[in-house]
Amino acid sequence: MQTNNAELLYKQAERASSMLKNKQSPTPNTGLLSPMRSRKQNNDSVKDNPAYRAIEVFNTLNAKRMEIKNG
Amino acid sequence: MAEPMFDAPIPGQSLTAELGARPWQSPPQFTTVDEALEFYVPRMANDSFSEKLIDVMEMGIPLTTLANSMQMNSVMEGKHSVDVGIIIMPVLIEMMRLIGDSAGIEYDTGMDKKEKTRSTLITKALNKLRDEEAKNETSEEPESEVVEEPTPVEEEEPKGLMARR
Repeated sequence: MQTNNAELLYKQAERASSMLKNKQSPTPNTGLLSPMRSRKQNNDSVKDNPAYRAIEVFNTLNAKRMEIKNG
Repeated sequence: MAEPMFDAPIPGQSLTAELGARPWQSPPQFTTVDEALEFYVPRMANDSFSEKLIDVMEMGIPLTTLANSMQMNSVMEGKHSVDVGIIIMPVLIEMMRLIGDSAGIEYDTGMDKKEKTRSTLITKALNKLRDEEAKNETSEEPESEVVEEPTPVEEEEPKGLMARR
């Protein structure tokens, strides 16, 4: 039985990290029908997720590593 | 046929200690991901730890195995829960990669799939080798035949009673 899922977890973190990097800033939607309230709630709930914090740290370390690797 | 697992726990082994006596049976020391990372990252950035880690990495031990062992050990010591350990595992691997890259060493991440040599390639190489051997055999000069001198057949001496002497 395989008990080490590190490879799978690392690849998931890489994917999440690239998604976070490529995430475009939301266009300012100031219309009357813009779902600002619900969007704000969603963003907060994502940031509250413990995995989000881990991905942020992962991102920082990855950026540092790339800097070293690329000189 | 599955091989027997000799390192598996004995049935009932978990009942040999009082409930709550084991570190992982009591509430963990670090309950959140942030707390766990604050525990790990400064320790891993420490020079003495880095030196030891680099030695281990140079030995060719995969980073996935190292990260898994580290977090599992902390779970057993009651530092954090299994969930927190799973979440922070990629961060541990990335930190180790950062240490390895900054030291300029080659290491095994444990994620590079080794290329399997296809059996067709082996067959192809063998056929090529056979062809070359056959070519070499034909190109070699034929060995000069050794002319054997006919051995004189000795006539058997008549041994009968009526033989002339």
